[in-house]
Amino acid sequence: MSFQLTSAHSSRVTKSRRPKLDPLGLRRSSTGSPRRKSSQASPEKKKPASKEDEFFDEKLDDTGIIASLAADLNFRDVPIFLLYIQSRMFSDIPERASGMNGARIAEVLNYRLSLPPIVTLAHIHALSKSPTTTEREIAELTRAGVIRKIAIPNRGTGAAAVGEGLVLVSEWERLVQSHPRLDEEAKAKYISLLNSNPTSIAISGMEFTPNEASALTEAGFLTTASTSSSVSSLFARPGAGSLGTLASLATAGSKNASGSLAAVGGAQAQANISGGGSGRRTGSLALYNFSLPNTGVVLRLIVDARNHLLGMLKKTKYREAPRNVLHERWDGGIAGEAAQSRAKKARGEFTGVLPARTKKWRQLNGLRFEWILEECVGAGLVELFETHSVGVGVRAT
Amino acid sequence: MNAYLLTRSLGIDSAVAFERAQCTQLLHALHPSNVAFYAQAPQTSLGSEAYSHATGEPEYAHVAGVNAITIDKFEGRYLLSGGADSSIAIWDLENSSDGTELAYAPIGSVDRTSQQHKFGITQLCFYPFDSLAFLSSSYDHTVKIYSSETLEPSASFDLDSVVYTIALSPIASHLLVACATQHPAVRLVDLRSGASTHSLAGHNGAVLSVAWSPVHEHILASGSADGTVRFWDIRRSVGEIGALDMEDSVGILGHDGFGGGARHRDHGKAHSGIVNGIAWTEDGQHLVTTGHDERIRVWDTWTGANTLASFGPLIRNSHLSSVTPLLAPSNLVSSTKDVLLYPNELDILMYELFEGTLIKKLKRPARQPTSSTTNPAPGQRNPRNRVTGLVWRHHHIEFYSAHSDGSIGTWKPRTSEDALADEEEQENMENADAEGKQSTKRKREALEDIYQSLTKRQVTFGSSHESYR
Repeated sequence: MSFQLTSAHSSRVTKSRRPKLDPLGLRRSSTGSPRRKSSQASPEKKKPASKEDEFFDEKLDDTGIIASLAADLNFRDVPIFLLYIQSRMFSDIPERASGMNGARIAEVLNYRLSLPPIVTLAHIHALSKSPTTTEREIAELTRAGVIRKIAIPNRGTGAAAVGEGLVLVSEWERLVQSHPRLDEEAKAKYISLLNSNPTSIAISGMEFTPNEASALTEAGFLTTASTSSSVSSLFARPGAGSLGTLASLATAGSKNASGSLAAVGGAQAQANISGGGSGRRTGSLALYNFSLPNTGVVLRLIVDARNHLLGMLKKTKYREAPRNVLHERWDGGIAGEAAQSRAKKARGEFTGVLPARTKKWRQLNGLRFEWILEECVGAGLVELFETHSVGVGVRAT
Repeated sequence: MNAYLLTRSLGIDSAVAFERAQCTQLLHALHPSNVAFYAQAPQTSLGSEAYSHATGEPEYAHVAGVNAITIDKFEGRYLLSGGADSSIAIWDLENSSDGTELAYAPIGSVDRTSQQHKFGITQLCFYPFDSLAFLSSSYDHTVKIYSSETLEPSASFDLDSVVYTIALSPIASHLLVACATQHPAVRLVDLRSGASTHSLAGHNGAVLSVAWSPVHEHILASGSADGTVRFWDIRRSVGEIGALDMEDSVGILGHDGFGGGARHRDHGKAHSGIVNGIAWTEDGQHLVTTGHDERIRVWDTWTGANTLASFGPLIRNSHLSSVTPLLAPSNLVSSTKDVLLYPNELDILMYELFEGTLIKKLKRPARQPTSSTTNPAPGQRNPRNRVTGLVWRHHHIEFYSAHSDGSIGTWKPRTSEDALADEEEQENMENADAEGKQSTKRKREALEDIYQSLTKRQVTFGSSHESYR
């Protein structure tokens, strides 16, 4: 008589260790639409792991199937995407034991309200099933005047740059109308210009009187579009050398034809000479960009959050981590919803660090992990892959 | 596969559809293959792996890196490769050096020299009407014509600035070579008269890539460092027809077909950074451009509109040389499912051209590091080893890639049926070995018995003691 409940120990059936090859992608994974990589899926040899950093010392198994975030969203069109993304940006303030007093909570809530409703293009592409159809839809809706592109120049080119965002035109108009300090004429002119140029990002300075232009610039609805060629790509991926102004001037000599003005930095390089270059022209031919107030705050938030996430991944040996582990790290060392920690809280014992002390709340005002993960996937800074055992893994590219 | 055979035999699918389906399946099953190209023929009769173990180095075709690669379009037989040290080699793909199709040695080569090209080669292309001549351009400001048989230059044109790309029209009766150089004008070199005076002015920066239209013999497209892609008609005095604009998804014909609401055709940037790759589709309807803003854009050439195909965030492009995407022949796939292969730093990405979906990431198996490279820090990509060029072999479904670590990679289809067949073959070999061993063991035992019975005294038990009674 056997005392074993299952036949696991006595049965002779063994599964081969080698995973089956799947070059044609006929095997479907359960997370929505998988995309295939080249078909060699090989389990990595496990190195002997130290006890503390078990996850971070071994390379995660990579089955070669790329996990996609676009799994179950069947939204009708792009504006619903925009609203969905904006609504899921921040996590709710915990009701009790958040570590924040009333003043701090008010600060956080006011900060969230003051952010302009901009969603980056990379984020939408990360969530949509087919970026091409999304692009075509965006072009159509832009021409129709439903959404509008807002450009942030001088933040680098390339997939990792925060180059363009989308805003619903209705939101834009609402912000203009509700601004307390602008007079009605300026508002009306601005809105009419918005509607008459649905696809253009910039507008020439001739359309506004100088007073209106300065009032709108001060309010934040117009920014001067400086077309300087000194691009400092602050958003370059960590690991790639960050290009400062000097580096781009250094390559200007080889990238441009010798003898042309661009080879010595371009016509705008004179503006960067400290102490004043000769013959600088100022303004009546100024070009303005349409923008929203507090855009810089959003940008800073996105950049800080990206750097934080990539920093967490870089600390691991192979720059990859399972997704739920990364989620816990993002939330900080706070106590979860487990029964043990609830019991501890009820007893009044120390459970873990309070949320207010974590970087997520102190610096990033409660930004959600899923939101920043989608943002980074869309920008190409991280990629998601399926492992055999621990679910989805995140790797910094 | 069986479904296709059934419908073919029932006459539901035509032969063309069946062939196309089979070709598409092979195309999607492209896989790195272990064919190797050696600069010198391996002396030993062992295989290619044994050769590299013996010399301690992996195989390379050009020591300093392969910059340019091309295959003749008539037979798909001769492969030309140009190195970063001005060496050129020509390979015969139908005659491998050891007969097993695994290792190739050049049938002719020009070693590193300062007599012909002084610096590295940037581009090679065969003469469009036969493969007896080819043109090469180099960093030493010259374009040379070589004869393929003797590998001697017949003529040389000095253009006074670095030549990045050259292109010859495949259908033209004129013999104009369009040269993309550091100078902002596209230079046209006439091979008939030897003159290089015709130039097309209009760009504001170095021109990095040129491509002739495959259907019109007088239309040329060029991409430059100022981010614009311009079209030229060489018959006109001014030359420039227009430029592409990435914001424009309607085209110059406008909403109503008569130009309503259309943009100015002379302004516009195709990419936010340098444009360094241009490729036309075979029917001339679409143009694919790549740029330093890490985007691939597909344009409709009839209206100049951006088709807004989006290829995802995996693309990287940061080198000053031209990075031309490879378009697989469109007769292999059904009509809107053309395949684009993009050389992305270390690996090659296979995309569907019009929808932008990623089909496959083609990665090369890791090779032994050469003794001369410094090892990069773990996790960092090795910038020395990038894919510099891709070329398709005509009449076959395979392509070749040039790498800056000196090797030429081959990519051939390997379906799941091939993989199963290989596994079975290996199992059969192992079984045959085991059986062979068993049968020899039995034979040996039988021989041992016979020998023993002949030489030693027989010890029998039983009835022999009765004889002593």
